[in-house]
Amino acid sequence: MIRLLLLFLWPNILLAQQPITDKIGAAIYQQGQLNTTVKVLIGPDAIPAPLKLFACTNCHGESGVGKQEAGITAPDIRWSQLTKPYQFTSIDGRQRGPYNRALLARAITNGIDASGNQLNHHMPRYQLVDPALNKLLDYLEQLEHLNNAGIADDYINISILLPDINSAEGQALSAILKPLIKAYFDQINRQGGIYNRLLQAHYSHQQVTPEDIFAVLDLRFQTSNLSSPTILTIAAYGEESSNNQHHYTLYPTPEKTKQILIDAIYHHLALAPDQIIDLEAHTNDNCSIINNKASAFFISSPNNSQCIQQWLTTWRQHPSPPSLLLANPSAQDYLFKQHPSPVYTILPMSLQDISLRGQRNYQQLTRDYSLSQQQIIFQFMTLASAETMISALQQTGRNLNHATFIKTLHNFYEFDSGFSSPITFGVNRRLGIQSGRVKQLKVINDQIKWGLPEQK
Amino acid sequence: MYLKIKQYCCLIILICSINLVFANNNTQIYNQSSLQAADVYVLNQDNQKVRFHDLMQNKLVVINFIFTSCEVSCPTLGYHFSFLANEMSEYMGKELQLISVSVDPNVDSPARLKAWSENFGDVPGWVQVTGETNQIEALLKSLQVYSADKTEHSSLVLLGNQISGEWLRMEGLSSISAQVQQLKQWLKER
Repeated sequence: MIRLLLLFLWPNILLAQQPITDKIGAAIYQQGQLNTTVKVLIGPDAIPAPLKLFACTNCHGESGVGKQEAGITAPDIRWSQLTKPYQFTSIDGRQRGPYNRALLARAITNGIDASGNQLNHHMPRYQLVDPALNKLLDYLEQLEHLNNAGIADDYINISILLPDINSAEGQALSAILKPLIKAYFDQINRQGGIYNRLLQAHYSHQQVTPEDIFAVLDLRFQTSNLSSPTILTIAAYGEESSNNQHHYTLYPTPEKTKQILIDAIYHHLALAPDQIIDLEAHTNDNCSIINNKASAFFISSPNNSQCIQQWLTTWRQHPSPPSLLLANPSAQDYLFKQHPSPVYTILPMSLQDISLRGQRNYQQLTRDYSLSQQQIIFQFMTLASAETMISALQQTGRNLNHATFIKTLHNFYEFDSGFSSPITFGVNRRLGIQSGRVKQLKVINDQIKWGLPEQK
Repeated sequence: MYLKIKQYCCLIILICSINLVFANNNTQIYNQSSLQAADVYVLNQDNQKVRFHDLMQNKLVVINFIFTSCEVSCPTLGYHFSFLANEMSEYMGKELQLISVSVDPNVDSPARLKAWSENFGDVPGWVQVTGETNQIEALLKSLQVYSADKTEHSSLVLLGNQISGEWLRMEGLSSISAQVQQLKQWLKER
């Protein structure tokens, strides 16, 4: 009897002992990285190229579902699709039978499909040999299991990354955001969760491992990216990752915000590209300005306040003083009060972005759960991120996995979270909000106000 | 009746032969003599404002269309350019100019283009350009490669001979030997 039981359990025991990810296979698939030099042959001329430029994920995606771009269709290479036991017809009409490991190895290295046909020449031929080739095949076999981590019929595991508690600011912010997100998830669960799956939040202040987590809600408000490319993340704030298809960010970094402001002012003042000078690089020198004839200057305040006084004095004596662009409104705004030309700034997030629905929901949530209304900008950014994640989960429906979730996110066009300006994601767009509110400094009754830019 | 059919067939063959210059190794090359690049200013990867016409003046040019977050076709297009530059190294920057035009000027800053091109090594005579959206759109439309959706951008390359005014277009992801062959032929004719 015990033997019989062992016989049934044996495959499951083996599966449980196997690590979910193999680092070598994952590194080849996700980043095109391998310790030894491996060439890939590209195009009909079989030009040898470095592996790192042609990681599998570029074309087939993190989850292996494939992609379309520039008229090229990279097929779905999930193991269940590759091994379907019937003839498969690809988009170009080519028919093939099911793959096995040996046939897939031949496709990867020689560009020949399971039925002996030449693959499209857009598929590079990877000159991999064992053991690396076998590690890659192992990874491809496991890819679908990674895709479904952290979900069951009755729960979805979400990791919540909170601000770093080693600093006083982080500790205070964490103490406000944790009850907020807890209340928000509780509200969803009381309504039956998402397709009868209850949201299970796992709170942490550090990086997470993807073992049994479906997705991460990153509320650390840091520019750093999660290091593992397989973790599905919605971050409130951060850099748009060019090579991590699992990482989605709502609000732009200061660097990106700066670019949005500069672009807006180019158009507003009809300037040429070289007429706005970025003074960020001038912080540590002797406050000299290279091009004093520029029409506008970008100032990253208040870090370079020593130089600002000197610059403002120089510009006031100028026959046509330049416009000034400030990184964000700050306590030092009074410095610019006397400036004779317009002073502009940008707000990546403003209370004006909150819709009536958002305001109502926020008031109800804070009242029902007795939450404090402090640090409200961070609270709204948190709710915008959470609402984006929950709406994507709801819209994906019952058939939830990483691939279907990502597909839903790619269809987010001007999504109204209620707590932010509209959010748009796409195949190559993983930063949801690429706009900000440009404001112009105005002095009314000796008070500084930030209002709409005046028409030129 | 038979004669009429024969005449029609001859006419069709003649029309086809005007546009299709030759087909070699699955590479089709189309004549585009009527092409006229818009006279626009662009920013190169070193953030210098340049007139697009000045980049091409009296040179042979090869132009492709990319964006830095593109992952399927652009690494191949970029690598093809570095390979082409290697094959034609003695002419690079002198008689021959390679130009990559960003189809995503809102995102692709000069610095991003520079970082992208560094993936393919240091290639003299290859310039990457971006610029104001309306200028780039005008350029793409004039070169007949504009697409409203950047992910559906053209994977074509344009080969231009700015002395004779000839323009050819070919599939940028297919055989590169056809491009080398064409450029060498133009150089011989100079």
